[in-house]
Amino acid sequence: MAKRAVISILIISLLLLAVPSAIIFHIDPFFHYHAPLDGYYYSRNENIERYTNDGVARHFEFDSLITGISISAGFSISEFNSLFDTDAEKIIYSGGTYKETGEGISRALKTNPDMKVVLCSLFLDKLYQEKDHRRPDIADIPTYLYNDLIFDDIKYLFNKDVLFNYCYPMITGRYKDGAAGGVESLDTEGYIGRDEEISYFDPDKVFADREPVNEEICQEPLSEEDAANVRANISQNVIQAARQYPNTRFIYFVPPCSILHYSDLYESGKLLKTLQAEEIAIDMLLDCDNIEVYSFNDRKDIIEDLKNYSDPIHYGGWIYSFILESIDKGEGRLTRDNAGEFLENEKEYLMGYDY
Amino acid sequence: MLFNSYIFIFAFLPAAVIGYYLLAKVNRLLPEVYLLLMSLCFYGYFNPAYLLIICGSIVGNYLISGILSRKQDKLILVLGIVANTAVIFYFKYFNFIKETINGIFHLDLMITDIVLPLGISFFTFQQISFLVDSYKGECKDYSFVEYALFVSFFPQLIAGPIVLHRETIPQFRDPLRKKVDFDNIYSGIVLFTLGLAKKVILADTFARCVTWAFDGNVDTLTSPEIFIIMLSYTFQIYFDFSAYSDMACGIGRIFNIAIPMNFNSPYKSYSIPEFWGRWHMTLGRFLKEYIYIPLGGSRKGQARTYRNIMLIFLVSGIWHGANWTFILWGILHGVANCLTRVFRKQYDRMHMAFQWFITFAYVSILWLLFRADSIRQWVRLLLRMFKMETFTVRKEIIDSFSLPERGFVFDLFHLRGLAGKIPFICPLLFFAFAFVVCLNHRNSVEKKFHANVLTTVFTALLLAYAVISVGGVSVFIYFNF
Repeated sequence: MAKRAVISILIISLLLLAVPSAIIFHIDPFFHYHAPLDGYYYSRNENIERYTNDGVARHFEFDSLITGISISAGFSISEFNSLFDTDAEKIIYSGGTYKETGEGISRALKTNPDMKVVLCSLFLDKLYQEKDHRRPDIADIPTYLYNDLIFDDIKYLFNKDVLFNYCYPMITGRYKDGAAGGVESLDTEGYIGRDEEISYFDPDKVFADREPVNEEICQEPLSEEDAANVRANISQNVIQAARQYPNTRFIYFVPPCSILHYSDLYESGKLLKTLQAEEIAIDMLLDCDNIEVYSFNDRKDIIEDLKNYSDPIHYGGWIYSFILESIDKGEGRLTRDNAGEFLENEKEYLMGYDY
Repeated sequence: MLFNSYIFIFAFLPAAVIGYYLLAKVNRLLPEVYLLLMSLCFYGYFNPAYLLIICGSIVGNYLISGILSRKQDKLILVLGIVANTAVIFYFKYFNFIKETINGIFHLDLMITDIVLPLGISFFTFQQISFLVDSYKGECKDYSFVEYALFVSFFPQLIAGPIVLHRETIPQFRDPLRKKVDFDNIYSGIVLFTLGLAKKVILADTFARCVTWAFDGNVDTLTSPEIFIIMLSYTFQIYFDFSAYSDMACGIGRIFNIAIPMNFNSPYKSYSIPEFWGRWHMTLGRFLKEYIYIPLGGSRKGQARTYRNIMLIFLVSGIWHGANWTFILWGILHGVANCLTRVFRKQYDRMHMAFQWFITFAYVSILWLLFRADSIRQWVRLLLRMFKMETFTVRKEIIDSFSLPERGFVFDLFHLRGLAGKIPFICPLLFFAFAFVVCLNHRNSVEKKFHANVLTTVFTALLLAYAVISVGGVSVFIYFNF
């Protein structure tokens, strides 16, 4: 009796587990197995971008990629497409690291080897992080969705959160509410228009509230270990893909964050090392023929005007448009000829700024 | 590796069980060696570097016990205990001591990044008890593999119970226990399933609102919120520990190894001493056998008895963690124990419901101390809770009790309207269920689960439900870019 009962428990529970697995496999709300099905509405909201990004990279049809951390989120896909004559997709890793963006680019290129353009942010103060660094503090990263192993897919298939919070609303949406199918568009997701009701910085208030940085703060230089991290980070997460796909145009841009961001870096004593890391990274990137690097940190009119920003880092939609238009015109591009002088001027400006 | 992980349930445990019984058909030693290696894999899964510590500890203690078995040298025993204590002290308390010295003397001793090896408190106490018993000549001629398996046997390795060699090693040696016993396997699976369900459905749900509160929201908690958090933590720690004990005993049964009961419905207690007879029973046994009784126990007058009680509760507090909160928690439990003894007659005259209420309230208030980041934070929380100034409860706390299946279940039973009218319905149901489980049910480990259709179907359903509850979708919280 006991032997039969043990076998029964195992068989019944496996059969029961097969039901949610089949539903999840069929609907596949995170696109892990296939492209979206007709009839269901798939959400791609930013709370679950870590879950959907890899599936989008592998199963969506596109020929160009807009990626990076949150400072890439506001690019309008349609604006990008019209400027670069592409059919692009957007995959954002808010708060992410080079490991994540590099991994996303590689996974996308693996299934789309003929990609035309990859546009990605080059966020300076993350350059000296370890090459495999992720952010465990912001969420559990679902790495089981980022590999081709089938064994760890049980974390996806035997998951009641996926079943009830994602599949169930999709099923009721389709069969009960009669909602139209499709995939949430990220075209202008994160794009903030000038007319939108959002509390932008009021420069007068910001500077009134902010204590001026009177004292001279000792700036920590880039250590040998940090420099090695920059090289490893750029090598593994940026250059490797560019070398592997020489026909793809890789565009990396230094985001024009506000002067307040550099003030924060200065106050933390990390501004110097950040700029030194930038020098190493840009030097390495300029060695690759298919990588273009852009920086707008000479545009004081932008970075000192706090009305362009919603916080020290994130800018309004018109800045995204400005970045795309500049890249399209080749403005702000760093080359072997101008990079040295540009970085020297940048260092002089940001290190000498009266914060 | 955690019991409530997919890799444990679907890969490790089946591999361990099948390999153990297959090798048991070959000879006596192989299954023990296999189980030892699997236990070390289990331990090293998170951080292989931990293996050096546990292996070093096992080898060192085995050598010392060998010397003690041949020669009853008190100095060697003391050295052995000091060495074990020093290891645990370094990993668990070194930074705490430095922080305390820095705070008192305004120094700047560097706080080094020391990763606490999992279960070090458990396997260290287990080995100290072994050294003491070796000194007393109570340890038989155990082989190294038997000893190493006794220390590292994976069901008890990272969260107890603290087992004794005399109750475990003879079971490893017994050839009859190396034969497949489906009655035990059945009983073990049922117990493991109950434990898994308690962990992933109850403990983890209560944990969500506690985590939310202590993750940056402590200073804004209102009176009822603090009460909810305190009660939630009371149940979180209960179901966590109860679940782990059930799972450990269940896995033990699958291997035909009886693991001692560690947890016996402690919230049914009518007094603090009774609570400690039911909560973490093997720790209590260790402290009693190896500290309280050697110090004279209750045989040398009342003053010495109270001193000894306070001492074991102080050790218990220190053992639980490196923070003043744990030390005060231990002391306050010791004080309650002593007071109950002093006023035993008056206490016994109180109505049982009142006794239960006092015990439960005292335990809960001290659990809040156990969870607090500092004593100051605990005091502030208590003051705010009793002041009753604001009576709002935020949505985040209510929502933390909403399981993913909530929408489906409400749709199924047409309860959406009710949920709208009673927003507290999920927390209320959870607390009601928790009280019923804690107060109205016999401890799972005590139960004998005989194979029958109802239990089989119920276990299969619960196992499947618990398995799909193991994982989740970690909604990305975007902050600090």
